[in-house]
Amino acid sequence: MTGNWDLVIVGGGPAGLTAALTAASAGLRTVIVDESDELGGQYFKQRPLALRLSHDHRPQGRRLIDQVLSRGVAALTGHVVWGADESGALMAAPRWGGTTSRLEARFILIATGAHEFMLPFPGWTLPGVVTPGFALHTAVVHGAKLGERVAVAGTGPFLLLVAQELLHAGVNVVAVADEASVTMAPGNIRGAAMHPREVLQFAHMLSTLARHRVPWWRATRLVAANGGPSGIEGAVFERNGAEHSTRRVRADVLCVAYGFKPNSELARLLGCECRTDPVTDMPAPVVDSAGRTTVDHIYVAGDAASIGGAALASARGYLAVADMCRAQGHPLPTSEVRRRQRQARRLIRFAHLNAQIFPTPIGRLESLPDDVVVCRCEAVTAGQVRQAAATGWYDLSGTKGLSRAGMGPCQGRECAVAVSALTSGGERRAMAWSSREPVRPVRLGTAAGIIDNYPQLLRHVSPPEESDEV
Amino acid sequence: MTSHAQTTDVVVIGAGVVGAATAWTLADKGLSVHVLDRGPVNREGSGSTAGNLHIQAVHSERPGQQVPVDVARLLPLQRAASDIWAVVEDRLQVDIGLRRTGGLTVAETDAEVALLWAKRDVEAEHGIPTEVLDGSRLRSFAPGISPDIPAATWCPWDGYANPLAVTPAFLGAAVRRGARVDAFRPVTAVERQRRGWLVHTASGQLSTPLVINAAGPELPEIARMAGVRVAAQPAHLQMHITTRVRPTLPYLIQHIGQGLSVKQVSTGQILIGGGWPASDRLTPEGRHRASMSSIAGNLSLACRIIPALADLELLRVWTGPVLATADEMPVIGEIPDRAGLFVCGGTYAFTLAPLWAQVLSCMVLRQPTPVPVEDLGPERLMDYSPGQARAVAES
Repeated sequence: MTGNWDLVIVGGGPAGLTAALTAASAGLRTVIVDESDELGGQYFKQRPLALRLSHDHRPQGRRLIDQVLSRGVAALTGHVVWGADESGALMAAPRWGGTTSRLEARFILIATGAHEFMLPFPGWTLPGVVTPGFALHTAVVHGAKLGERVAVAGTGPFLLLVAQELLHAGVNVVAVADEASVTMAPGNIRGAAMHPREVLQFAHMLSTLARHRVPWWRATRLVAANGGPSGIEGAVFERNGAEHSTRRVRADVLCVAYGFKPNSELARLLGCECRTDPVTDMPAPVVDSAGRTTVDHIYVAGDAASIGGAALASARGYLAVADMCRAQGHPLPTSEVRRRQRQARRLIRFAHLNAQIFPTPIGRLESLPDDVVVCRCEAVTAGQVRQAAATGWYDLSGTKGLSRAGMGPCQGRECAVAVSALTSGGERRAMAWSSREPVRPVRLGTAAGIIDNYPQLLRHVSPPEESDEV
Repeated sequence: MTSHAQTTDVVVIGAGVVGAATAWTLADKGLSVHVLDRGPVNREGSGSTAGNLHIQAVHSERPGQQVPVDVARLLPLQRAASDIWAVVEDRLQVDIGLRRTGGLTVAETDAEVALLWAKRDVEAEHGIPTEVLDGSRLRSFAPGISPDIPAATWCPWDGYANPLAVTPAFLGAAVRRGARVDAFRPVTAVERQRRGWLVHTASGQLSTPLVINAAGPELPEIARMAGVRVAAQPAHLQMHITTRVRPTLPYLIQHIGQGLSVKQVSTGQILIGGGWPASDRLTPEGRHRASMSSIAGNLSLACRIIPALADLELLRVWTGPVLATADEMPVIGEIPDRAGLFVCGGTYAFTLAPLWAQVLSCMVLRQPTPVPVEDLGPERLMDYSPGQARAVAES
């Protein structure tokens, strides 16, 4: 696979697949890299793992994957992009070892999607606390038993979608609790009126819950999960702003997420400027409407740019390739580009509406008890993070060094936002630690193996000749 | 001008390992100490170093290094620092991840083996107990080392300390003895007064008879503020670390001829360095990016010496600066014609930091130093020409 390409796409979800199909149709020599053994990403997995309201289904994904492959797009599945060399070529290697492929390309499209966003709370590390995505994979994709009584909490329309899919799969969902108040403010109603299809889907999810007599509690904050090392026994909730309004739910599984977080590590590693997204409070790369970053020839599309779901990701994947084709002097049909631009604008407005109705409750961390673990890789508590910050001697990176929060196998993907919120003194500044090679852990011998790309170094790292002078 | 200035016995510029150890030592002697840093504490070389305590001589050079270090000159300093590190943790009463489990320096060729024997003799002269192990003894000692390695020196005094803990521990001890530490307070000018110095910062001035420039990579810049040119510049190096594995490698392992240091730190992670250069490209945060060719070179070398490393998971690569003086030797002393202005830094600053703290405190108190350091003063770097570097290299 090593070699020269017109386009390297990192991530084989809706954005990456649409971009690959568009690029290959336009004659660009394209390679697509994905960590999973199969293309599709989270959304187009064997069973749908939707990122938000829209509810596509598997045949469309399968068809898209087949189209991409039949167009001659090279697929490097089961590979992680772990770095980039001096000339900007990407290093892609099999996750569990093997040879690194050096991918040199005219354009790079980062379509690495998003992570479910978890905020720590008392009990969040107990067995039985999972993310909604994990619950879907377990119960829906794999058809495995999830638990006897499943509670869903956090915030976002995704919680309703997950509850609906779990119900369809026969799972006993006992309650859905959303921290957002989901009020129908006039602005929100006007906004929602622009998106009748999505509103209909929303109503459909609510009616599914109602049919199964599953309560949807709004303005209800998850306080804690109760239980012990053998698993949780229940969850405690509180109405926002109302003390003594405690609600206890018996549950052996608790699915929690507070929305999604753009997976921006590769973009940051490649030097693309990032900012804290004012709507979601999440660190995200700066992109224009075509997905162009602040670095020439590097684009970001899909949820890696900002959270918006599969349909928006697909439109953005198309628009990024359209911009590359324009730059190459072979523009795509104007009418189709305009249609996709209109679609993207509408879906971005909808994403903003979602973010307004379901804001990320980063402020909840201010009341997080000191003894709660924030970084589970290194078992660092909120108190230890606060203590490091209290000296006034450290920035976010120094807090990491002193407390070890963010130094484990996930390299801070999970806890960066929480640690930055805990240390920023109430400022809404959710930032990430600097991104370094390897973007994902890679077998050390695989990393060492790129020595073949540096013939001038081989002399230094080969055993010295016996004739060396003393 | 000085009416609003705070006064203090000594201003330490740079809250790295040298500045922190010095602040602690001076505060312990009853001086009022004020530490300033332009950014967070322990940010530059002190927090990003591999944390090796080099007691046996290190012969290898950084790739790209112009001049070799004067190995024999450093040995008495390493020996003296070793004695201090032996008691540092007791004095601080803080866990700094100190491990003194010894180190091996491997050789691969006959020529390198001959160098091991010569090295052992020089070290013996300086009272550093080193022995040469042949291949079979080496492997019974450290089975992970490649069977192709014919010999290594063993020094029981080598070790490491956790660089993320050492500087904060020194600073904490300094603060408990009354020192003040201001992070994020950059020095903007260093002005000579009739008596002593006026240190200007973004937020007010400090009047002091004594200034210690321990600013690491910024040392030349701070010296320039006082009108002094010091021939030194930052060199940006990179480090590599694996995910955690069970305890398996108790020794620091180095190579006599090539840039390599490998050890298992207290978390169980294996840290691989050796002075390989970082990239010249910068991250959005202004740090030097990792160099792919150094990843390739450093890790290939590591896998050649300890083949099983290849099966571990590389977790992270990071970079950090060291101060490289023009002659690759440390610099410590008072600047001529600038009474009360001291500089300290350069080669093996982490290993030598507690020694430098003692030397500096003796210097500012006009007491005899525990080791002679007259030849390591800043004069030699103030009118340094490239011709001298060549002369040193050829001698």
